[in-house]
Amino acid sequence: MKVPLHEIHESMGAKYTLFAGYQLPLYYTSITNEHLSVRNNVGIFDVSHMGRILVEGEDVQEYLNYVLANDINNLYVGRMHYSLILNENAGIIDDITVFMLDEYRFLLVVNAINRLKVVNWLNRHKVGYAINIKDVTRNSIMLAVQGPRSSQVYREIYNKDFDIKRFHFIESGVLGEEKSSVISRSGYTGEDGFEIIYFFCDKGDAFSIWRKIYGKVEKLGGLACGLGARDMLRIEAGYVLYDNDIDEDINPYEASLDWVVKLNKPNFIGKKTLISSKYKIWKKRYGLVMIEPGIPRRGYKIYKEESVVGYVTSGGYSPILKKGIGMVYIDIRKINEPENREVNIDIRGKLRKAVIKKFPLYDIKKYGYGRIIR
Amino acid sequence: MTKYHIPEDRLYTNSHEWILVDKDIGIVGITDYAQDKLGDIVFIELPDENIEVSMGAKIGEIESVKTVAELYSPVSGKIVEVNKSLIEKPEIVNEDPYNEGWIYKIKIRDRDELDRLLNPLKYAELIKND
Repeated sequence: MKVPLHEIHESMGAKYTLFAGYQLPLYYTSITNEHLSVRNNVGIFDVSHMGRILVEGEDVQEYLNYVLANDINNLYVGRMHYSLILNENAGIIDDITVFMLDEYRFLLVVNAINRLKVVNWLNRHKVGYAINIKDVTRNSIMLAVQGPRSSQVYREIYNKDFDIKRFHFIESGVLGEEKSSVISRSGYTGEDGFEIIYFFCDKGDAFSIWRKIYGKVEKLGGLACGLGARDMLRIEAGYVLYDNDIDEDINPYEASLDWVVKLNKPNFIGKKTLISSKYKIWKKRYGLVMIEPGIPRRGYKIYKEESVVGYVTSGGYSPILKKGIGMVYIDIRKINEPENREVNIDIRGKLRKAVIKKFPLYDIKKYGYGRIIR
Repeated sequence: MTKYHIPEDRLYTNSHEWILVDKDIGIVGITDYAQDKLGDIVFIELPDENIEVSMGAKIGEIESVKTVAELYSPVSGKIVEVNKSLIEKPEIVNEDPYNEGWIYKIKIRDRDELDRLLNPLKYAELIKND
C-alpha cells in the first residue's frame, strides 16, 4: 500500500521499507543525519500510516474506561494521553493515544499494524454501550514535526505562538468532516514537537500541506525524516514499538508501563489478571548501552557470567551517544535491580560489554522536550 | 549505466570489495555501491595484521546503522597493514570508499587468483540494475 504523500517521498528520493503493509520512507539521505536533525534542530515525518479511529456516543466515556487501561476521567476537552488496550490476560492488544474532543467524542490514534484488529476488538466489546466506532484513517494525513525548533516552525505556519501545552491539542472544524484538523503537542521522539492530522483532504490538499510545513522546516535547516531515524529516536527515548517490544504475550508491568495502568478505576478488560499478576512479574523492560563496539539487534541474548539474563527486542546505533543501544527485557529473578549493572551481549558469537540503563538513554539536560519546557 | 563510481585501475569481487594491485601488494576496500547499500557505517571490525588468509575467507565485519555485512578477502595472502583510522572514523568508508576508506593491505600469495576477479566492466555489469 502507498500513503497519500507517496509521490512526494518519491520526488525526494526516499529509500523505502515495508511497514505494516505500507511502503514508507526508511530514509531520504541518511538515517544518522535525519536523527541528528531532530535532536539538534527540527525534522518532519509523514506518519499517515497510523490508524485514526473516532469513538462517539452517549456512553463513550464509560465504554472507553472499560476497554482501555488508562483512566479516561483524567482527560478533559483538549487533553490527550497514552493508553493501552489489553486482553483478558492483560496482554497488550495495542498501545495508543486518546484525544478527548468533547464529552461525547474521542479520537484514538493506533498503530498501523493493529488498526483492523483494534477496530474489530472495539466492535466486539461495544455490546450494551450506546456508541459508534468510525475508522477515519482514509483520506487523511498525519505529520509529525519534532525537535527543539518545532515551536519556530509552528509560529511560522500559524503566525502565532506555540501555546499548546504538552499532551494537549486543538481541534479546528468538526473532526471527521471536511477540512477539520487536530494539532497536538506530542510525538514519538522524546523531543518537543507537534503532530497534525488533516481529515478529508484529497491528494492536492495533502501535497500543499506537506509543501507548506516542509518548506518551513527546510528553511530552518531541518530535514524530512524516515522510519529509520524515527526508530532510533524512540529507542533513545524509551518508547515501545508494537510487535517488537510489546505484544499480546507481554503485560504492562513487564513492559515497564506500570504508570499507564490505573487499577483504582472500575472494572476494565485485563484488570483481574493485572491484580493477580502484579507480584509475579519475572521480567522487565530496560534500556541498554554498549560499552564495547557493536549494535545490539533484535533477538540477541544478554548474559551475566554464564547464564542468559535477558534479550534484545529493539536496537540500533545512537548518533548522539555514538554507541550501540537497545531496548531489552531483563530477567529480574537473575538480576535484581538491573539498573547500571554491567552485562555481556552475544553479538554474532562474540560477547561484548554493555550496561543496563533506565530510559531515556540521553542526558535530559541536553536532549528531549524537558530541556525546553522545564 | 550505473550511478556508482567504479575506478578503472582496480579489480572487483562479487561481494563488492575492490583490490588495487601494486606488484605483490594489494590494497582492499569496499565499493561505492557497497557503502551506499549499507548506509551510515558505524563500526568496522578489522582483520588482524600478519595473519594469513585465503581467497574468499571472511576476515571482518562492517556494521551500519541498518545492517551488518561481512568482509571477504579477494585473494589469498598475508595481511600486512590495516587502516586503523577506521576504528575511530568508520564513516570515512562512506565518504571516500576508494581512497581514504581503504581497509587493509595484503601481500598477494598467488597472482593467478587475480584473473578470477572482475574487471571494472564486469563489475559494472554486476550492479547495472541498481
